[in-house]
Amino acid sequence: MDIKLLHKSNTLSSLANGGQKLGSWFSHALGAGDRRRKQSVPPMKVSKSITLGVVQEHPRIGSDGESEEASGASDEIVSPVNVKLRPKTRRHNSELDINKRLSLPADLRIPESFRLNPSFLDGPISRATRRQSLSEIGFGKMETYTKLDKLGEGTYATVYKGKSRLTDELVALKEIRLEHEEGAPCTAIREVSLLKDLRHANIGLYSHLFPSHQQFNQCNFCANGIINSVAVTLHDIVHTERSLTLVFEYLEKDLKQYMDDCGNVLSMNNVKIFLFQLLRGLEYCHRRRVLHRDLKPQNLLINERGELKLADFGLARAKSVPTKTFSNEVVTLWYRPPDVLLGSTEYSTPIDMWGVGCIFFEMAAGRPLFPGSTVEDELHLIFKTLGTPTGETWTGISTHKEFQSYSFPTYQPEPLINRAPRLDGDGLDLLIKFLLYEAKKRISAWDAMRHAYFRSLGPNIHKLPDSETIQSSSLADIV
Amino acid sequence: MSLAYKSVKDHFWSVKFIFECGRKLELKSHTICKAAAMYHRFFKEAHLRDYDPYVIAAACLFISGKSEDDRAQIRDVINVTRDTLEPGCDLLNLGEEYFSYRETITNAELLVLRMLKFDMTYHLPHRYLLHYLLSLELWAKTPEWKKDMPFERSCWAFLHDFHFSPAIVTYKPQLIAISIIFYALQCYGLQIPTEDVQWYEALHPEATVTQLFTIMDSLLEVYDNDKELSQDVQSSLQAKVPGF
Repeated sequence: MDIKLLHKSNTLSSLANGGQKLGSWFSHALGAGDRRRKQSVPPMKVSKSITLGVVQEHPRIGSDGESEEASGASDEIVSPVNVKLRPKTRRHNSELDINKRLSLPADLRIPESFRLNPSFLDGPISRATRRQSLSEIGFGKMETYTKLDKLGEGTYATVYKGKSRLTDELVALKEIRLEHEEGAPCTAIREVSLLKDLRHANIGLYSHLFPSHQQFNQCNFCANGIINSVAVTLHDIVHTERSLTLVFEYLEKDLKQYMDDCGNVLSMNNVKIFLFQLLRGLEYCHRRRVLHRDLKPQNLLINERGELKLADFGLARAKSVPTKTFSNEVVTLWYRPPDVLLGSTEYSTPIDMWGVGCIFFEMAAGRPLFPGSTVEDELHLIFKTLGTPTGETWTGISTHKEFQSYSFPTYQPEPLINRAPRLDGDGLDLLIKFLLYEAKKRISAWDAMRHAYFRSLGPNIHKLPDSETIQSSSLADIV
Repeated sequence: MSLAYKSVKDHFWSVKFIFECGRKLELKSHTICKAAAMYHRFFKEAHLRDYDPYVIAAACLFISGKSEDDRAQIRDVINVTRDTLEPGCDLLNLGEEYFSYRETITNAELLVLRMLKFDMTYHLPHRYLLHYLLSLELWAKTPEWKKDMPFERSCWAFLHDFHFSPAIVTYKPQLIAISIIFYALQCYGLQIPTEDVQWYEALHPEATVTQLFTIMDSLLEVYDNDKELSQDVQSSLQAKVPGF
């Protein structure tokens, strides 16, 4: 926290100019931090009114009993305040105790057998007994989760839809096989570690909002939804001899399915809200020095409430982006920036911003921007639309060996309005800022969130803490 | 001098082992430090008598390499750790012995992962040390240590050595970095000009003198340990080799 404040404050440069004394600079920086912290306290009133919600374009979500039930459940758990204020009279006393002592999610159903014999309730709980109790309840066990359908194959794992017997909630089960020669795949190790880091950070930052839940810092299984983070929540990890299964919250569909289901015509209001949520998620990750590196509509999950979350962090921090998936399917190149396509391994936050531009276009225009099939084809499509780069648009490109070896014809840039006629002036301006050749010049997530394109969402949209999604807070209160 | 690792079962030597193997595997310094921190976290939960520290150490190096994308192949890990434990042994062929080693390491890997609750984040004090050193340089305008003292190098060496102590995972990385600068300043008899606030208080609100001294004690223990242990091993070697 502190070091981040230091990075952010521009007083360091003024210090170098001999302007200020370090002591006063620090107290200034810390004071600013305090102020910022105070500001970040969210509006504590939460109602169910959603003035800025995504207008349902696809009536099928939420129409069947099951997902309606699920949405009801998430209504209750999204807001930290609701959880605290929720009437607890219905609940069995000892169950409450168990939940509290083990810092479990509030909506968890504890098996009868365990509730009747809660041996640990007297005396302090050690780490080992806590772990044991969690395991008796059913965490970390495959029997707790029922596999329903196969959802697909990711870069290194197979994903199933499942159901938790503990909460009756739908979950996504990401099964990673361990038959690999080199032990656990490093993508899996990195994904878990990142998600834990992201979630801990969230909790660390906002724990003052939940004074009665201070134990969350040590809690392995974070109360689901209480910390409604920008990334998909990891509930549990199940380990067997042959596989490692990550249990995630289940989100109805990914952005690609969502677009398909509405015939590739999203309302422009939804495009704006999805884009904003995407930027918010990325801004949060980038602030924590985490790159996603594999952004594509398939990795953006959307639930029936229109909340968009980032998923699949398997490639985050990887040195190279693979070209084949686990099942040897070719990985899509459509969202890769030209610098990476030309072999750059200097990864930094702009690598994600190019993909954001491509996704933004795809949502607005209803078709992918650069659907190339090979690296050369992909570059060709990019240059055909945005113009072949010159020393002016991309410093140093004229001497780039890889670029020269392709010897692309010289194209003039094509006005993007022709391809995305539904975008207004601000939208086009923002789109172009995502799609700059020179990585350093691409707009950052933070700046993009403050672009004029989002002005219609109101100024208070920036005051949401990371633990709240746009949808869950009552926008009637803040707009 | 090659170390007779197998004759001792001690955390200090295990970390020495991690550093030696890590360097042989050409891993980056922060990867090795992360492995050492992981090792300490593991043995905060587990007891030394229940596990072979060198297997755990090897698994920690292996995981750390994966999570930092500074990978060592499992075969290299096996060969290097074997050779470090028993210098001069032959390289393993892909045979039964190799496969049993591989299974041991991959099992230990999962054990460590589970023991650490899959939380492999370790916020390196290195980052803070670098940042603080740069800040102090600006504060002191023309610091004396820039002239003819290996002050910064000593700081890095102290930080490195601190990874031998389990205390490296006990304190905040910010405080560790500050203590190390504090200690190095004392070693070289240097002073940072003070205005209204002491420099360490300005860097971190929790950096009180008492706190810094506690951390420095842990650092100094490392050097005491080193002396004692090398004497122990020396004498045990002398006992074994008559006429040494």
